[in-house]
Amino acid sequence: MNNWKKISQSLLASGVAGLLLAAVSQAHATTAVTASGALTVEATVASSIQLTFNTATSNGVTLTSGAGTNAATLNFGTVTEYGSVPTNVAIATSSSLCSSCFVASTNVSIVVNAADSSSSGFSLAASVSAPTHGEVLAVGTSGALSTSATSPTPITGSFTYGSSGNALQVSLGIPTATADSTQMSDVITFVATAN
Amino acid sequence: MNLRKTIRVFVLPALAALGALSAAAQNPSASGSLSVQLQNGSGLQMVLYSDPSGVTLGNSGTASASLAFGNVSAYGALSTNVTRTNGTNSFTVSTPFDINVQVSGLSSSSYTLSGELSTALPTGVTLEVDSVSLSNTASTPIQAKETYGSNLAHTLSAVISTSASGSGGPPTGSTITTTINFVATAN
Repeated sequence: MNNWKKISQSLLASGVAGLLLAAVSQAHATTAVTASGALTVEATVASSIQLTFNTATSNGVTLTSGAGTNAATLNFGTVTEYGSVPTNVAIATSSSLCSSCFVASTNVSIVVNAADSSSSGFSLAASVSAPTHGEVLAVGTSGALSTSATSPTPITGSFTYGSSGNALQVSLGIPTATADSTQMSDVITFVATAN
Repeated sequence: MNLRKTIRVFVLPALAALGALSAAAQNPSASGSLSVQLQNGSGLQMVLYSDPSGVTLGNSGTASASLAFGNVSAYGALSTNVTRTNGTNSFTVSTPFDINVQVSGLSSSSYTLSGELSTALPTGVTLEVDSVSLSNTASTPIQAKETYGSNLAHTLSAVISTSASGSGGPPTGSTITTTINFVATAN
């Protein structure tokens, strides 16, 4: 009888121990081993606007390069006062823009987008690099553009943000005394300023 | 007298006497045994590093670093090693950084990386790590099976609305700050 009692006590003790071990083992198995790190992130959001050029949908010469960017090329092609006129180029034999000249004109689309800004519109100004053949450039009704990048000529008009763009006429006044086959290359720099 | 008897009678006593003499000639000694025990604790360690192609971190090489994007805008100039993609109504600025997790005393071969923001971000701004958007309400899994022991590049991105402040966009001109609390959990 005593032997049975000892055996049952022993079994009970080992059973309890087994349960404890299982519990400890289970607890160990479910404890995730982790490491942590902290990365503090800082940023300052600034308002910004962007100006790009596109071919005007109406009366615009197709931009040779750079459409959709802020550095595009508009090529009037070969223009003459009395000869054939390239597509989407208009020729005026007299203009207030210049004397003893004829004027070639076409449209270009200027797209200005604003981000993180409450501005509802913008002003536009433009200047031109120093013409080398006596030519005169104008945008819209601005008159001859300034050749000073620090004092660009304001462009008259009401302009709106967005991808639909703002069609503006670019005019090139060419002295009638210009030699045949003279190639003119000028850069107009536009500046949009959020109102 | 045979050989076995000769050894038992003469040789063995002689060897015993020599042994006793030798012991008597040595210094006295005592011995003891020291049982050395340790429990090898298992664990992970996380360290944040600047990525060669990313913004230089403050306190790179520690578990508590900082990353400053600087001025960010949809169209303006950005800091070195910050890149930008423009979407329809938002823009995203990104830069890589590295996380290195070391393991010790575990048979684990990989870990899960998760992250949680310490504070809510302003309207119009979300933070992503490896294109996973993080929140300040729950830890979000970022990578499921990262390997230990090497600098692993992750991309931190801020997605910013282009709407004006007050119309769904973020405030401008003030610094936005939050902390990403990363946790690496052994798989």
